[in-house]
This record gives sequence, C-alpha cells and structure tokens, in this order.
Amino acid sequence: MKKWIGLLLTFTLILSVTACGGAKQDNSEASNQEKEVGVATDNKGDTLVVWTFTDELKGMIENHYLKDNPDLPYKVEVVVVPNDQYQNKLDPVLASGKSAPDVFALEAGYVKKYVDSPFTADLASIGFDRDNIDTLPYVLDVATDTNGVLKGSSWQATPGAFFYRRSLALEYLGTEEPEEVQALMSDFDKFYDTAMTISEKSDGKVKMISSLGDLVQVFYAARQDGWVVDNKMVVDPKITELMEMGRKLESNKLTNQSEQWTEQWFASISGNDVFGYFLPTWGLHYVLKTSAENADTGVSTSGDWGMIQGPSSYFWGGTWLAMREGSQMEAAAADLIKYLTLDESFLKTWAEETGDVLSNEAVVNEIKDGFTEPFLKGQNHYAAFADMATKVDASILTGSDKDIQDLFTEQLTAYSKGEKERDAAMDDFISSVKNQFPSLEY
Amino acid sequence: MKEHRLGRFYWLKVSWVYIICFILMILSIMPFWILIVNATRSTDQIQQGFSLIPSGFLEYNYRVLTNRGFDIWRGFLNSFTISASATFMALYFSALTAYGLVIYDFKAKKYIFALIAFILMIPAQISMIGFYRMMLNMNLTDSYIPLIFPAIATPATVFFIRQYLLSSFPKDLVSAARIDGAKEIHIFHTIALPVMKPALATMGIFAFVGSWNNFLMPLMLISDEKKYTLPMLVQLLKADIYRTEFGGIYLGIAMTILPLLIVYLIFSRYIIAGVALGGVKE
Amino acid sequence: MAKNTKHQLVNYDKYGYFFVAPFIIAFLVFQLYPIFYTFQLSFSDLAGWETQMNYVGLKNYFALLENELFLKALRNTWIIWTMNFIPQIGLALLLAKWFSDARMKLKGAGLFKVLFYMPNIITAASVSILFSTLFSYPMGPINQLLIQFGVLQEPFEFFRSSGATRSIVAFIQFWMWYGNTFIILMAGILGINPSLYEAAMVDGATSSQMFFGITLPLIKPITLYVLVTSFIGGMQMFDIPFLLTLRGNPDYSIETVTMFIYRQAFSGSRNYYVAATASITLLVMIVIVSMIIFRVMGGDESIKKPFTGRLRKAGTPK
Repeated sequence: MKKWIGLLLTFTLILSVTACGGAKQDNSEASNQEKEVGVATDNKGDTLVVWTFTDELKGMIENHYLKDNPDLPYKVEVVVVPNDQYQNKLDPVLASGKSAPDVFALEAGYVKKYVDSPFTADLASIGFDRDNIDTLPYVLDVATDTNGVLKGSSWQATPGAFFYRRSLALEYLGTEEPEEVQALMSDFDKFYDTAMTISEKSDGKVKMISSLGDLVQVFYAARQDGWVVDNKMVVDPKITELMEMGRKLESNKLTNQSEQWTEQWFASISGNDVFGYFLPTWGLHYVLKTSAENADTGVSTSGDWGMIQGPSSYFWGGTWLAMREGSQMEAAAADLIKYLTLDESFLKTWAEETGDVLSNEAVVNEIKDGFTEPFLKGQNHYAAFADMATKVDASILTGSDKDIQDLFTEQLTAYSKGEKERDAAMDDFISSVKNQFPSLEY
Repeated sequence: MKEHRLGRFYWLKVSWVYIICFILMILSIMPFWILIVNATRSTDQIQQGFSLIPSGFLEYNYRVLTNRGFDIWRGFLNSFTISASATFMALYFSALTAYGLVIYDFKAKKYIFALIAFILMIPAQISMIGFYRMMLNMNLTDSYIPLIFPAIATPATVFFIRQYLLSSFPKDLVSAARIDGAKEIHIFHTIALPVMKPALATMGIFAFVGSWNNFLMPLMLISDEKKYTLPMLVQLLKADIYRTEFGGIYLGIAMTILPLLIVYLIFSRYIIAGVALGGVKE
Repeated sequence: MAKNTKHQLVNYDKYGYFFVAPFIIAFLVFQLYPIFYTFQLSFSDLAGWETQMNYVGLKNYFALLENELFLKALRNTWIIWTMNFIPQIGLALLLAKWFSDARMKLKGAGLFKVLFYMPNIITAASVSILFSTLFSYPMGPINQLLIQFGVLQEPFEFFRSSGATRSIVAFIQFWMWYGNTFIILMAGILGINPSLYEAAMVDGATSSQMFFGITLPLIKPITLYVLVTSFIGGMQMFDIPFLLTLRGNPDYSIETVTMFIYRQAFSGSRNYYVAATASITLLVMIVIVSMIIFRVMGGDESIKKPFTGRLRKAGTPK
C-alpha cells in the first residue's frame, strides 16, 4: 500500500513535470498557428469526425451512409453535443484547429455565424455548383456568406404551418375544413378575432395557442430586415407588431399561459384546451404525433388535426452541414455532405421513412403527391409543405439571431403580461443586446 | 433530578424538535422520491402532470436509455474512474500539504498558506477559458488527465484538514516516532493518515460528489463517446431529435445518483460519529 | 547535544517543502496559467474569433463599473447569498444546539444527520428541473396545493416575480447547504470538552445558558470558517440560478456575477475581455470582503486557527 502510494506520487510528479514542459512547447506552437487562422491542422488522418447537436444526423450516417458505403477506407466518428452547449464546444476547437471536426452541423439560429467565419470551407472547391443542383434557393442562400461563397448545404426545408384541432373548429367555428378555417385566420387581425370567438363561445375554456412563444417565429419570418444589418442593430416594425399582438392575446387570456416545451405545453396536444399550434415540418412528426395520446385515458387526438398556412408564411429551424476549412479529410467530408444533401436515392428513402420535407425540389416533386396523412385526417401535408417551402425567404437570418432572440423573449413576455410599458421593454431589450454585442452600432 | 429542571415543557419542546426534524427529513427525501417515481413514468405521463405514485414504465425507460448505441455501464465506469481518482488525488495530496503546513516550521510556510487561502477565493469560472485553452494546446482533450490531476491542488480540502490537524493531532506523536527512527513520509503514512480518517471521509464525500456531478468541464474536453461520463450520457438524451425523453432522462439521473448515495452512506458513519472526536479516540 | 537537537529540527522542517510540493506543482501546472491568462485578457480587447490581443489599459475596468447589468448582477448575488445564508446558519446553529443538548437525548440523531446533507448530492441540473416543475404556472403542484388550501384564489406566476424567483433560488441554496453547514458546526461542537458542560450542569445551568455561554463562544472560529467559505461559494453561485430560468429572468433578477461572466464569454459576440475583467473584479471583491470579515469578526489569529479554542483534544471520553 505504502509503496504503491509512493510510486503513484513519483509518477504524478514526473507527469506534472513533463506536462509542464509540453505546455511550453505547445504554447509557442500555438502562437505561431494563431497568425494564420483556420489553417491549423489536426492529423487524425484516418477518421472523419462529424459533430452534430441532434442524434438525427447520427442515425442518417449510421443507418444509411455507412450501409450504402460499407468499404470506406477510414472511420466515421459522429459526436453528438447537446444544443445548448454546442457552440461553446465548437468555437474554441475551430479557433485553435485542435481536435476539431471535419464536418459539423449548424442550426438556423447560428448557421450564419459560422458561414461568415473563416472556419467553413467553400463548397465550390469540392464540386458544389449552385446552378446545377436542385436544392431550394433559400436553403443555399442561408449558407452563403457575404461574399457570395457557398459554405453549407442541407437535406431539408422547414416551412411552417398552423395545426388546429378539427373537433374544436367544428364546435366553435362551425367548420373543420382547412380552406374555411384558413379563411378565418388569413391575417393577424382575423387571427385575433377568431381567437376571441373561440374564447367567447367556449366560456374561456379553449385558448387559441398554448404559449406566447408559439407566435414569435411567424413574426420573425415576416420581417423586412434581420436583427443586424451592416453591423447595425435593427428592430423591424414587425417586432413591435409582435409585442402588441402578444399583449392583446395575453390581456384577453387567449393563450394557455404556458411556456414552449414545458410539460403543460405538451399536455395540451392531447387535451382539449388549446385550439392549435404553430409548428414547422418537423413539428408534425416529432412534436404533435409523439404527444397526441393522453397518458391517463389512452385517448389520442390523432386524426383530429388539420393543417393550414395560418396568418403568414414562415420557416422555423433547419440543419445545415458545413466542412471545416483546413480539414485533412476534405474528400471524405465532401463525399458525406454530397451524399446527405444531394444524393437523390438517399433523399427519397429518407423522406419516405420519416416524412421529412426535403430541400431537393426534384425529389419533392416526384414524391409529394403520394402522401396522405391519417394524423391530419387524410390531408397531404407533404404537398402543402412543398408548396410553402417555395415561398420561404430566409435572407434575414443573421449569426446573432439565437442570442438576440433569447434576449427579446424576456421583454416580449414582460410587455405582454403588462409588467412593463413598451418603451421600457424596448429600452431594456436594446441595452441587453448592447451588453452582449458591444461592437454593434445602435 | 436533572429531568426535573427541564420543566413540564420538556415533552412539548422535544416534540417540537422532532416535528422540525421530520419536516426537514421529508424535504430531504422528497426529491429522491420524485426522481425515482419519474424514472418509472412514461414521458407522456411526466408531461401531463405531477405524481408521487410510481408507474410501470421503468423497463421502457431503461430501453430508451440504453438503446441509443451508447453504453450506460461504460459511462458508469468512466465516471467512477474519474471521480475515484480525483477524490484520491484531492484527499492524499491535501492531507500531505496540510500535514506539511502543520508539522513543519519552514520559512515559506506563511506565504504558502496565504497562497492556498488565496486560491480558495478564486472563482472556478475565472480560469475556465484559460484552462480549456491550455488543455487544447497541450493536446489533452479526450484525456482524463485534466479531470483528475488538478484535484491535487484542492485548497478547501487542505484548509479543512489543516484545521482538523491543528485541533486534534498531538504533535508529540511525531517526535516519538522520530526517536524510533521512522522516516518522515513513513510517519505521515502510518501515524498521521489514520488520525485524519474522519476528516478525510467528510472531505472525501464532498470531493466525490463534486467530481461525479461535474458536467461542464468533461463536456468541453471529451469528444470520444467511449470516454463520456454518466452525466454527459444522460444529457445526450436531450439531443434527441426534437423530442425529449423525460422518462429516460429521469431514470438516467436516478442511476447517476445511486452510486453517490451508496458512497455517501458508506462514509456517513464518520459524519454521525462526528469529525472532530474520532481523531483521538484510539 | 543542544546544538545537535537544533540541527535536527532545522533538518526536519525542510521536509515541509516536500510535503507541500505536489500541491504547489499542480497549482503551477494547471491553475497559474489560466489565472494569468484571465488577468492578461482583462487588459485587452479580445473577443469572438480574434486571436490577437490589443492592450487597452484599464479601460475595461472603468467600463465594467458603469455596466448596469454587471452592477445588477453584483447586487443580485449579494441579495441571494444573504437571503440564503442567514436562515442557513440560523437553522444549522439551532439544529446543532438541539443535537448537542445532552438533556434532550434526541433519538435517531445519526439518521437525521445523514439525511440533512442528502440534498447536496443531487446535481444542480436535476434540482432546478425539479423546482421549476414544482413552481410552474398555472398548473404546478405548489400552485394547486396553495389553491386547494385556500391560500391563493388563483394561480401565482412565481417565475414572473423577481421577489419570488429570488426567494426560490435562495431557498434551494439554503436547502442544499444547511446540512453541510450543520455537519461542520457539529464537528466543532463535538470537539468541545464535555467536562465544561458537566461543570455547568452541576452549577444548574439551563440548556440555553450552556449553548450561549459555552458552545457559541467556543465555536466562533468555526462559524467564521463557515461564514467565509459560504461567502466565497455564494459569490460564485452559478448552477441553480443559471438552470432555473432562462437567462436569469424575470428581468435579470437572478442573474449572478458568474452568470454574467459566463454569458459574456460564451454567448453574444463572446467578449472575453469583459468576462475576464468581471472575473478579476469579483476575485478582488471576494479577497477584500473576506479580509474584512476576518478583521472584524475574528482578528488575524482565527484565519490560522478557526478550530482553535476548541480545546485541547476533545477530552478523552471518561
């Protein structure tokens, strides 16, 4: 025991000392590297490293890519990092080039931040020619930097819709047909009136939407300008409209007072107290369908849903793939990205398997008429989404969206609930953004 | 006779004390109970309401937890390796340092103690950026070294053991051993360490719990899934496609806590016995 | 002979360096550079993807002292720590009094001691999920309970009220740490020579007289230790307020200094220089206040011997 401790001690000391020496060397190396951002290398050589924030991509690679390509001369390693820690982990490795991934997934809230950085590679160099691929222009625009260089690609398009409960519509609006319900909420004034009607006729029991947060994506997408234009912060008039709409709905008790993604928010999907949800393509499959059954009674709301565009077209989320500038596995990375975002036979299989709406128009047009969705009482959601996808304009996305919108949510809530007046809420919003982004102009 | 002096309110007072202790006990057990109950409930049930009665989805949740292509038991082993090693480092070297500070009167002693007190005051966040950067540059990502070896310098533990030694370690023992011709490190191992046991147990619990629950630093440093710790694996469930499997997460949390509880209960007899008394009992 | 002894003594004392060496080496290897780097950053303008530091002197420090959000975070940190520490030390002392009261002879004392520390075992992440569920609006269990018992007419939105949210954070901190404090205080009390109590009992002292006359004065050093370590920990409070609500909401009422630091470093335009400046400022504040606490409460001696006073080895049980 004693000897063992002595040995361990010696070992520790030796290790500390050598580590110390190592640190010195590496530090000087690092400072050399820092002068040339992005060309730092990580010599793993025989492994293609992919980082992502959902296990979806992991499934695509393991169940499709690797099965279709069984004889790859290198390993593919997929690292899943939870989304709230993803950027924290990605940023330093990109900056230092050490232990950095070759391919990494990016979400709509921050894709621009990386596209406009020196760490994502020009996809033209690996054979992406945006004029010769069938990907929706908006999907490519999002992944194009300020100089017009294409730096990312995606397999999906994420237009958004409004999903409502048919039985509630029939009871309070007198119809359950999508066209007629759409006519009752084709803009936000009508949307508000309809919300009032439902509330009055149900004695306040049925709310139009579950949480205030459900509204925001629709308004964000309707803006003329993004949050940051030419390094200047911009508050689009739609933002004020959103705040006013929030207050109108809250003060008349037209939302269910929940918060997005909380227990209560999910619970209303199987309950009878919320009329509808604003959700995009993925929301149908992964949010509504998975939460439709009441755990106590076993009664499901499946088949009782209808899908319409709602007051305004919008999009929400999406996953893009980028390749790291300076990756040693360029060919392998290119092959993977091309397979996942351009390979038509894979895309077709993927869409049929999951119902995911694709960014590839050719494949979409080929398959879109074959869908009928029992969950939506037979509506063809795919064709509807495909139609909505062509109307999406995502040019207002910026790399700071996620951070800025997180800050805005608090002020929107405070104003809607009547805790603050609009000017005060706006001032607090601007000053909190200033605090996080001191170098922007205001 | 003595009972008498307490007066007739004795029973009233004692009952009052028991009531308070009982309430605190409920408050202590409640979270564990809720975690365990939720580990047996389905995600839908958890989403739709709160309950104190277990349900029947334990097996299902276990499948959710283990069917992700990652090995929960390996996570256990990894967490245990890190926590046990880090705890050993913290205890052994803190004991060494504290002993050195108490027994010997060397010149730099005052300054070293001041330094340790100063390190104690440094917020963890202060050095996180620099620490991570340094580990990247030393190529120590995907390694357990940065998670284990920094524990050698744990100022709070040194502080505590030092105070403990000052109050309950008879220095004459050392002189006596020297006369017998024992080497210094030998005296430390055979005489001082046993005396410190209760203090080590207390600090050991704190150190083990801290290391076991540490999430941020391992997450930043480790990318190889085979090396993931248990809390990291549980967090991975949150990276599920758009939907969170709450049942699986709660089971994961419950499984994370279980080993801690066991370790705690094993060492808690020292807490019951009292830290200070133990030292001189022999 | 005398010379020889002295020689030996000097010799032995040099061993002290060997004993503290691993600690010092580990500190130099793992912690010195990060601290130095933070210090360096606080005088630079490094942010975002940049790698080149430009030194800007003390500018960041002046800017920080005018940063309202930082000042608010500082205020929040103090408020929440005070709200948690006063009841925490109060309850811990009360429990210590009861459990050390020879006349009360509490049964199951061991069990209680073990249980009181248990909340500290659960990760902050689980604790915060738990409490946000318990206090959720409008259907959370606490709301339902309060309405059932007629305390409230309609559900209360705890997490939209600054006061309520702060209180919940303070309560969680209190609940997680009183057991820890209690254990440390008990350690101090058990070290008190039992003969002091025996003598007092013979003299007919009441339990309260003994507690205030013997126990409290003798555990003052250890109370001071608890105060200082709790203060240091409280000023670094991060996990619970960070995870309980989004971004220290409502209205940044539970945004603490370390949360401010974290957000500056990891979100927005990643202003490392602001994060570093705030870190150094926090450190300086902790050092100054700790020193003041020692001066005011214990004199210099107690930093060295918090457990002192507690006498001569805990009296051998008779």
